[in-house]
Amino acid sequence: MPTAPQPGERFEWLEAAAPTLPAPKAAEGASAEPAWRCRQCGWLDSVDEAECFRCGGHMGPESAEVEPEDLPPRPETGGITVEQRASFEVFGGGGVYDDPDMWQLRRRSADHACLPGFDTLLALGQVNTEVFHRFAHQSAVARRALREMGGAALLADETGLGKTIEAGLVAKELLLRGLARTILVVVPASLGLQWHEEMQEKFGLEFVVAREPADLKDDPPLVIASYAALRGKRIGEQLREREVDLLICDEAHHLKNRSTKQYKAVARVRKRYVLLLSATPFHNRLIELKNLLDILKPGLLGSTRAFNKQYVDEKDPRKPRNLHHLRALLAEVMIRNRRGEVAVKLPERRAAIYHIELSDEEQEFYDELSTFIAGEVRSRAASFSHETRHGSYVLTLINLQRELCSSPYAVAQGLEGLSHSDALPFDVCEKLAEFAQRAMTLTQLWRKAQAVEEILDQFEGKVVVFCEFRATIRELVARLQAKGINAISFHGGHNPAERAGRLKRFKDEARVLVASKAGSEGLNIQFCQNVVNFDLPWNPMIVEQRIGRVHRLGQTKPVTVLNLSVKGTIEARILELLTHKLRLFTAVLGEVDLILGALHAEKSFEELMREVWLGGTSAESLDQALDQFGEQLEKAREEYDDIKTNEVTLDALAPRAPALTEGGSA
Amino acid sequence: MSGEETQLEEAQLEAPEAAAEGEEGAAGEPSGEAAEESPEAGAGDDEDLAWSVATPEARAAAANAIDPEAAAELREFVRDALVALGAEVSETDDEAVLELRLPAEGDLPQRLGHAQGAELRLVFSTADLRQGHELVAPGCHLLHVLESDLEQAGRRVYVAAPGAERLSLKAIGLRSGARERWTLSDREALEGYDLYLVARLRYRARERHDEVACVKVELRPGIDPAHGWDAATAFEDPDPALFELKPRARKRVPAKALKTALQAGDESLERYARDRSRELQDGMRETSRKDLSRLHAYYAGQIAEYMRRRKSDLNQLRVEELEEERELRVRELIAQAEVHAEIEPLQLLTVERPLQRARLSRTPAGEEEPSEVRWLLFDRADGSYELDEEAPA
Repeated sequence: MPTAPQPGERFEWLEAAAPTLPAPKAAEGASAEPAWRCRQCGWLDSVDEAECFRCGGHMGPESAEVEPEDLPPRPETGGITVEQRASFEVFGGGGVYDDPDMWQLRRRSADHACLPGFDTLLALGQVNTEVFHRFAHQSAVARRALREMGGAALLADETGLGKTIEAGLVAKELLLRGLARTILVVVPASLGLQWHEEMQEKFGLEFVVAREPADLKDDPPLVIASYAALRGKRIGEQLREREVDLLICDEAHHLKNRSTKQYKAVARVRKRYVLLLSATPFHNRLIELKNLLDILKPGLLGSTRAFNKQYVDEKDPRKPRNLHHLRALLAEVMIRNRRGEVAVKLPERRAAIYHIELSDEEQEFYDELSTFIAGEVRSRAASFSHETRHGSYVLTLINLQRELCSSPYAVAQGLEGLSHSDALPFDVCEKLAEFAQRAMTLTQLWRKAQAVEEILDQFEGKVVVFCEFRATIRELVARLQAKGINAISFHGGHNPAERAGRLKRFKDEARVLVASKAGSEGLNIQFCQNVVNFDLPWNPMIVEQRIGRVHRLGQTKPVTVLNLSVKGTIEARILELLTHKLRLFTAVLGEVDLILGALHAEKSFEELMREVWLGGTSAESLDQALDQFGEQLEKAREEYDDIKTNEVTLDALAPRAPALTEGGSA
Repeated sequence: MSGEETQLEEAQLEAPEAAAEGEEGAAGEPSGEAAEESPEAGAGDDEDLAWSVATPEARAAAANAIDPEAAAELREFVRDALVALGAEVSETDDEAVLELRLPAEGDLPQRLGHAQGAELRLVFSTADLRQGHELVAPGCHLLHVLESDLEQAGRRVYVAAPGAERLSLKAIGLRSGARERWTLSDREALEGYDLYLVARLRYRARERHDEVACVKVELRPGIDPAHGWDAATAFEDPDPALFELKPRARKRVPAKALKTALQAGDESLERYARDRSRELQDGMRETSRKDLSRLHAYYAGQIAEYMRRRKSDLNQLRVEELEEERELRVRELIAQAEVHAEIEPLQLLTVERPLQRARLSRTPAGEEEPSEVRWLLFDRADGSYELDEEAPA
């Protein structure tokens, strides 16, 4: 019997916070002022200076010829090496002759195969167009970084404009041209897998995510590592000592402080090309921006003292002075696009939480099993570690709690499996088996499944429902099909051919796709307009990715994101944190990661959440721990909002968007 | 769930991206597509239409679209190459579109992403792009496939130039007269060769540059029979008329002679590659020098700042770190200024030239013995000739 909806159930629509950023003011010193340049080192300065503050050289008008130092003596080879295959080796042997017409055709083919300059990006013809929608500004940035900046650039686009894509294009281009063979991408730990997936899916680049020494055993050419790994002892030295052709540092504001270990670790890497990616390259002081640029082009902005004297407001360390000159210098290495300028248009997105309540029987079962799990977990939490047997049991129990939130089927399956464990005491196994039996009596009630049916009644169009467990997916699909709704499952258990077939069916005929996270990787379903988060992963990045499968370029209709929240469950609490503290559903794509970065935590959100949950020794203390975590998130959000105000300064410093001036043309 | 039981707070606010977008992001409009890469900002309505119907592959190639002249040349090449690989060209009224039917067998269609026997409509300019068209532009997949298919084709060709001229005193502009008598003796028929060696030169520095060069090696038997083979080189493409000559399937250049010729060609190519590398290096040199000055000035300043401070282990450590860092950066800079060139031989065209060697003697009137004797090598293909150094009478 379906449960009757409870009076307290409702949709809560989530509102985006109004932007608080002040509009950029007319930049101080932005009017063209004649610049003078040092004849010795090329330093650009104001007309007042007669002597270069950087090297003491004589200043002259900007056009004056620079007389720089000479290069060190060339190596014995003269800096030129020629590798040549002897023609006699190729043509000296026997063999049949070809037709003269073919000779000419081959010659023409060889001419056409010659690589053009960076004006023509070869990478554009090599990306996976099935999952890749390119913007003009992205290829313009890649061209500019390669052609004008010699492959050393700070990509400072606003969030959501695809800095990763830009870096991917540069990487692919350098690889295709044989200019790079080895690439090291340094990212915050939480972004490693996302980079891995994106590079694989969009550019066909197989990176190794390096965590252990074994990951670097075969000297893989393409490596992703976290900042922590690069500065750490485990694989840090190995990473730092490798000479790489291209170094990419994502969320490069992690390098704002030059006295940190990770700054020094990154500075130590020998590289030929380097890309730094950050929408907010400085947070508290303008000098942080200079520190970043010292990685790209040491000395471009002079010494710390000189930079402060020349370019930083005496009263406000965030505020620049001599803007005209500073901007001219930054134009050599920094590219920034703003959303309004590059016209990245996505249709409206709205999000709501559908608050539902369990039936009495379901609630009773949930409470009892949760109490049992909590008791088991907390009795072993003290000795929690991933490597220990206890640790693995605790993780299983955490999973059980998540299965409980998902469906009676998922939890029954989990309980059943666990009840046969040899490692657990007999009484615990018996209890688990008993819970498993009880779970199966609740399958008819299953309030969450009923909520999906209600959503299908209320909202038009195709719907993708994201679940965490296959048992839930299987039963939800069966239930919907029994009601005459055309629904298809989609998860990691299907092989690529099956997935393609299911996706086609969803596009052509089915109304509902019930998918798992594993199944949704690389999913391209912008023909669907509704996303239902049936289960909530404890990782906000996954939620963001789920939404991104639908709310992406190519989507032409408004997108609705609906989150199921079952009153009184741990999931409901997490959803509350994500919604109201992190503002996950109203944030711009890519912002969540920056907010989480402001947590200054070494651990991922999921790990932090697990710790909170393990730390709560009672329902009350769990509430308290969750509240505290919520406060931390709120603080991180505020810190991020504060950092965002720097974007006004950054906008004033940044040269105009290349996409508009170049039109992305070849 | 009934309407009464569910409170729908329909505050349908735009997500921040949408909020910044204005009306174009509204429902029902293909705003997402409009934001995708367009090769020419502000293109007209027709082009927008073409753009909206383009396949993702076409859009991917569009950013590399080329100028009309190059596009025409590219079109001609693609047509010839596909026909050579078994495709059939269809007649069409639309000059901008190249219509072809792919072969019904083989794996070429599959590698081009089409079915066997599929029809292709290729265009070479974004302006000509319509539904169902495929844009061909530098770096596109189709060109990659053609290049790989033609890689082993047309590598070696041997043709023979006909002997149109005949060696005679008249042919070399001489005539015996009252004061002297010229004679040609010891005639010998020989073969000489013009070899056109085509190689791909690839230069890697900060950027990569490719070029295809053709070096012509004139291989001639020594004029004096006592000499071996002589080879002279010059960068020159073969005259198209040479491809009209009769191919010779069984002829071979003598191995020793071929080795001499190809070595000469290789040396010429290497010299050329070094010169080009030096040009590239010189082009980068100014930038490198500026970068070096900047580096030195920066690190000197930084180090001086620490030196001025109170002496401490920490400051000393920092100075050492900075010195180490400077060394690292300078090494990077030097590495960036290096050029690595690769030379890969691609093709060889051998043109056999019929030659005739003879002894040319001048005997003054009234004398028995010639006063001057020289060896002459006559090219029967074009009537040109060479004389050896003047030998003593």
